[in-house]
Amino acid sequence: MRKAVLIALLSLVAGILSFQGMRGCRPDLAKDVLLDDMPELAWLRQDLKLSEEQFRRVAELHERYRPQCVDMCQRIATARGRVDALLRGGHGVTPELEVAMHELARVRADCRLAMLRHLYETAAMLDDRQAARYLQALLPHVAESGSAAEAGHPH
Amino acid sequence: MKDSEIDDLLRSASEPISLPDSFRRGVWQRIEAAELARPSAAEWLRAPLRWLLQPWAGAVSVAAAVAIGLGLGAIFPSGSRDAEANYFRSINPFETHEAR
Repeated sequence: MRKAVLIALLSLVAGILSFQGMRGCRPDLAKDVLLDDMPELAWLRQDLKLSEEQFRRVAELHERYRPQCVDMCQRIATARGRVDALLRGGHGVTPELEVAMHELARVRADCRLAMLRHLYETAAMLDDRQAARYLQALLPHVAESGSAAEAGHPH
Repeated sequence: MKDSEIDDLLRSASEPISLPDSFRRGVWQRIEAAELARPSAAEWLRAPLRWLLQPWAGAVSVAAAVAIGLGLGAIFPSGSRDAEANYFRSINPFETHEAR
């Protein structure tokens, strides 16, 4: 009977190892030079199963968008910093604060639109099924993006 | 008629019933057979383990476990949600960007 218990345990261990091995194993990604540079694109490669050509084009688009994204991030930080400074000044709702608040709202809207444009440009490089999955996964995040930061500011 | 008289009458009417030996034996045999037919909890565990002792069963068991593990691993890949979040973070200007 001890032999049977050992066989059962061996089977269990083999099953767990196979499961873990299969989960972690991504042979198609192992030799992907583009992913070394941009590991954030792994999700596109894995889950949307892009072809080599699709992935190359999406990676190029992503590469072009990067500096634009960093620039937008800086614009948001600058506009937010100005609002924060005026609020800390404690002079109430001054015309300067109004301008700064409107500017922050405009920058945020611009950034969301730019991000949306990038999403749709990327989706245009995918086939219908991939594009649907891509947009379905990401569009809800666009509406939420920045809302946590906005919630932190008193109205 | 008084109650005591009725009792006496009933007592005098009862006759000792003698059952055949085969009847008593048959009852015990049925009880034993019922107990044997109902496996205990330990027996439930022992049955598959006994199956594993057959010469080919060990290999079949390991192969089945590996196949199930591979199948489940393919269905539930690791870090899919994390990878999606990483990608979105990389295109979201509302996230703090590290210097590249």
